[in-house]
Amino acid sequence: MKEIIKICIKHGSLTKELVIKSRINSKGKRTYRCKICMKIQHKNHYEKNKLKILSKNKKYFDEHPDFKNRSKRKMYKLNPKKYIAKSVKWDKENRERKKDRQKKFKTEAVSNLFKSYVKQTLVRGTNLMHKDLSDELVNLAKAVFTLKRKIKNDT
Amino acid sequence: MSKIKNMQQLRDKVLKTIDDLENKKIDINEASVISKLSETIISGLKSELQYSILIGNKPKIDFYGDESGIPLDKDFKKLL
Repeated sequence: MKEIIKICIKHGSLTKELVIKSRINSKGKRTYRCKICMKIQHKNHYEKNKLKILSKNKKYFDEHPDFKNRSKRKMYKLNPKKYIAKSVKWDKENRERKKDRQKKFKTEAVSNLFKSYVKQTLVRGTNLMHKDLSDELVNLAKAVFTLKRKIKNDT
Repeated sequence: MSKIKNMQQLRDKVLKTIDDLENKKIDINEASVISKLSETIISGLKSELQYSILIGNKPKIDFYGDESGIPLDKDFKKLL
């Protein structure tokens, strides 16, 4: 039988899955709160102060542009194999969407001259590998490609 | 015109050409000559790299310059 951690007035006795951690009290013991009650409380708070919260969030996101998907990236770093397997499985199930995604990336890479695209163009027909090319050479090639495109557009 | 000694200088020259072409300071013929020359230099560099890799040496090409790289100019950054 699972251990009962907290007794809620509304929801009765709660196990570990139904509580969230709260503060540590003066006796050094961890206290808990009912997950369902807290969810309702947070929802009510959000609805009451929606504009204030959204504006605060927006300000924070603007100040910290790397914040987006930070937790996702952290989880990925902890267990990359799990997420790779997940994406491989998804790709197998959704082949059409995978193709669309690849197509989209390719057009984006060609139009914006991604580093990978430039390297691929330089490497084609040689025994060179991507790692053999320095960033400087890639930058130079990128500049030349841009110039060539500009000339083509002007004529 | 000053002599171009390494890749960074050539890159800056190419970027300057793009800038000049946008501002119509030079004509297309001149720009295309520069682009063709740069392409030739790049293919030459590639051949030298290939050769040194085939031999098994680390490439020692003077034109390759300092690989740590000179940062791009602020004006040129937007062009790439």
